[in-house]
Amino acid sequence: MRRRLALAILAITWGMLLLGGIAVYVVARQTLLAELDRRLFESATTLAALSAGEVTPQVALPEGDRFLLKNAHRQTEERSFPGIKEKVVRDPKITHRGMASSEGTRYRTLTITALLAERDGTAVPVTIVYSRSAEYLLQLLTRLALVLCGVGVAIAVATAVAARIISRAALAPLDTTADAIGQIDERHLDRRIGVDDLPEELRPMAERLNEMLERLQKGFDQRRQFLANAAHELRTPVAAVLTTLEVTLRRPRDAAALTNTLKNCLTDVRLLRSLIDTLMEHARGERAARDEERQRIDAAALLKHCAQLGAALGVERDITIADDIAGTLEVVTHPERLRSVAMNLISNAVAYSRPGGRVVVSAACRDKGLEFRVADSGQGIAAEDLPHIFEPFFRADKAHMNQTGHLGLGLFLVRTHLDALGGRCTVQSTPGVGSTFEVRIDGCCEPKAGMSAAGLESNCHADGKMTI
Amino acid sequence: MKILVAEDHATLANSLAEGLREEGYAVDLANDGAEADYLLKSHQYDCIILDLMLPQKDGWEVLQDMRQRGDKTPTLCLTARDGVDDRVKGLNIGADDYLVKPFAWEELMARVRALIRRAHNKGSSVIRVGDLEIDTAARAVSRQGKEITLTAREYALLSYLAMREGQVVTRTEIWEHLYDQNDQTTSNVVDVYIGYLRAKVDAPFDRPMIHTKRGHGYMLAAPKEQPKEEPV
Repeated sequence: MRRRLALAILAITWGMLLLGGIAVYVVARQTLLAELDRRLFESATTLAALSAGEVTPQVALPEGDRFLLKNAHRQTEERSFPGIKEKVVRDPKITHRGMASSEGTRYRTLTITALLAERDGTAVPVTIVYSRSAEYLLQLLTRLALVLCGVGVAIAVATAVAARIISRAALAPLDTTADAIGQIDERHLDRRIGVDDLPEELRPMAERLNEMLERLQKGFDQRRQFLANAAHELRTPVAAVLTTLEVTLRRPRDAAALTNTLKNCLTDVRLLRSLIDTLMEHARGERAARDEERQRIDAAALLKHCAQLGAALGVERDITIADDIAGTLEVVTHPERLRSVAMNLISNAVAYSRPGGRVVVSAACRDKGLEFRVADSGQGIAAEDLPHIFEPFFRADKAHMNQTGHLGLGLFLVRTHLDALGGRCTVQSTPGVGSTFEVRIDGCCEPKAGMSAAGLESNCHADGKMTI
Repeated sequence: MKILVAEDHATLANSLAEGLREEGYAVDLANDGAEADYLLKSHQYDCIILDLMLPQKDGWEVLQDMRQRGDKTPTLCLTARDGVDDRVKGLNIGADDYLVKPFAWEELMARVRALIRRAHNKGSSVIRVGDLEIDTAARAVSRQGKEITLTAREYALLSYLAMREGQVVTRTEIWEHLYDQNDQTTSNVVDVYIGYLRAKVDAPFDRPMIHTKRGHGYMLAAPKEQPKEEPV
């Protein structure tokens, strides 16, 4: 950048200098030569007129000048034309201008064609060649060229130095900024680029960079926290398995004790597996949803199936799920993600329901978006916990995942998948009364043309709500 | 020696308790912070194994409250977080040691032994009282170079008396440090075990070390000429 800027400045300056020098030289040369030619022309025509006259002998050529007069047959005329007296030079035209060299001296030579007319009107075409030493003029021009070159080189060098200094000074803030950026790595994401010292033009760039760093830092922190939490959650069951096995192996045990140990370890290993599965699902689900994964499915059937699975989870505690569904909800979406969202919300609702409780799942297509709702009559969520429930590993009681295998990752997965699907989830909860999770995924409802649109309508009641 | 294990993960807690009991410790279990708090207020422990992530009341709070009450029971914090910040925070609040999950059983045992030793101002893992030598690491006892084989309970009793060498220890104290909540016994059982111990530690040798202080309790001391001794 700096080199290019300096080079550009130099190229422009040097180019202008060169052009200027050449222009001055050419103009000076043209002017001087034109003036010389004018004088030569004057002398030539005058001499031609006089050459054949009686006055000829009185006319002396200036020192060093040469004069030739040729007739139409390109024969050099004698100094006098026999029988011709006073003559007039008519229509003189310069046909050639040139430089010629002779015996070390350079001459300016003009070739002029003209009519040499008698007083009686007869005219003879002639060619006048007139030369005069141009040595003085050429020396003058050489000196001019030398002076121009000298001044030009001096200016060129001066501009080169100036360009270097100026570009360095102008770009110094960039160096400072570059140094500042160079010191930022994943361990020093809290550093920022100093904006105040930067020239106005560079400030927006530095500010955008700082904003980017802010986002990166946030992302890194979240990721670091997530990793720390995941490691933490993995460690306790591993510690349990390890300690149980070590203690058991310290002395001989009977079959019942060994069976008990294996059962306990199995529980923890299952917990570990489900934790790892969930972490993997999150890792896979984190990338943005791709179009090729999208499928046309019946969301009603999918949600109904999830509700049935949820009902199986609640059977022991006599929890019922309202699943009265008919008809279809045609959507184009990612079925696995939608299934995970629904399944996590439903199993959460079942887990937090009191024995004998009731979970209601409802769904509808509204404004081309799929909306579904999972309402439970469980313990509800405390107001201070509501902002955190979608965070990974959040549990209201701060404890380890307990023996029920509740990982604190269900709602986090819901968020992960909804982010990818472009959906959102809102929660309303009253402690002691129950919670309602409402999901909306925009623009995914696409009833196929010719498909039972009427049937669909009949399932969506006047308010667009449907109970599954 | 009695240890409180405060850990909410049931499998881990039960395995810890089982392993510790097999090592001769009496163990009480607390499944959450509130229970740990209650047990700490109502019992004397020789060591606490405290998980920092507990429901109801987390380990930090339990530890902080305990230290504010002036309870100096040695505390080994178990944690799944290995960040330096967490360690510093724990040590600042008053943890005596730190162990990151998952840990090796032997390491946990070594640290528990070291904590208990340090609390009783015993520098080495081998405790010497007169000609009696107790190697707490190997759980081996010898007197005058002769090896003495003890049951876990006898060993626990002897090592507790040795930790408090030269002090009179009441029967209730012994009972509290040797038996946990699960044991359906009374402090009379202490006398029975003192009897067993005497048969192994005192009887084969010329001078007794286990002394009875009538109305007070028992004392382990290096043999002197002829201490005032009365049989139980």
